Amino acid sequence: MAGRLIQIDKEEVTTPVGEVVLTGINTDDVYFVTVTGVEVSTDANIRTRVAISGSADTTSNYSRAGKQFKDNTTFGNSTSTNDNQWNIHFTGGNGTGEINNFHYYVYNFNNANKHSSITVHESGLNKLQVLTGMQGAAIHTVNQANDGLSFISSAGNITAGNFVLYKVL
Amino acid sequence: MSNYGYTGNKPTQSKSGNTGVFTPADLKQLDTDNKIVNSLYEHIVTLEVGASSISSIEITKSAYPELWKYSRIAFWLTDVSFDASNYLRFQVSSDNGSTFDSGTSDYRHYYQVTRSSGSQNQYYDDTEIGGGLDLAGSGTNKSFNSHGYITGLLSKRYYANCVFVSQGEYSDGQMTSVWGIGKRNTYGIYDGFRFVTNNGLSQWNAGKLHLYGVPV
Repeated sequence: MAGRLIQIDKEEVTTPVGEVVLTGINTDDVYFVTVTGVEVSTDANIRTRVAISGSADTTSNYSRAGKQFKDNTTFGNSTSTNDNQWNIHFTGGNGTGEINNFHYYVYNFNNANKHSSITVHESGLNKLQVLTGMQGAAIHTVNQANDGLSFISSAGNITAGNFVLYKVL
Repeated sequence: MSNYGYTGNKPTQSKSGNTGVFTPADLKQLDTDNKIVNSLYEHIVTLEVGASSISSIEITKSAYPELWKYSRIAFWLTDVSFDASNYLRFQVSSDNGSTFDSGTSDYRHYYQVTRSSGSQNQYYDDTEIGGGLDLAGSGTNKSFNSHGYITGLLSKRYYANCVFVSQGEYSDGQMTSVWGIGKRNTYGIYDGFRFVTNNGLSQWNAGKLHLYGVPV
């Protein structure tokens, strides 16, 4: 159905959970992930991993590169290689209004001969109530097919948020 | 099949008392024909680089007139790779693709490159032969994916431009995040655009270009 976003999976968090997994990537199309209203139980950030057969891949094959933007200082750089997760989110906390919103475009997850990658776009308040944004990209440097994404908090639980996976056609 | 919306013996479409409905078969056929336009994007065309390496993918109003109904064009370039280290530029045409503007001061661009190694580059120049889009090296996995918008092709008030965000891997194996904008340096009415290798060589060996009209 060309020209549409087809909803593939959706998880709405209303009670604390340790992990949210979106699955259903099974074609070579571009996919789109939108996540809104994420709250966590402690001053922490969302971490992301690829999911293979619905389970997070915890191997150290994650790289990232991007720019952070804050309303109280100059931009910062966010780069690293060979992590065991993508550390690509910098907003959020457990204070009032410290909510994380972001979206990804998702590439090559279904291709067993390519590295899975995403572009990242984020905005929200961080744990110091600072307006923070992130623009960048990330890659999982393994030639394997992945069928989804896993989200956790770097500490504590995810207490709220809407996580949705779409296929772009 | 019914005639799109009419399931009775004769049309009943009217502003009042409209009982015409689409049958499932209608919807399936319309979808197959890519004739359903919704409030998001209208998919216009997907082009794939074939067996032979090419220098550019060219889009013209004469070939895709429906694309020029829109003031904003969304694009995805997926899994783009080259025979040798190269990148793409955005260029426009005002003669339906016979020529593409490529003078030494026809374009300006700014783009930010951030690599997972931590190195940074900002590329900016107002004397370019095309708006730089991304960079990727040759070899397995050294490909890039990009998403962006093209606007201003038909505007006398602002420049034709291409704004984008990309992810790729450079020839040194470092993951790269790139975002920026490239635009034509003068106003104009353009009936064509293309993505072309930086040096014009036929080194573009894989990838797809997906184009959508955005009804804004």
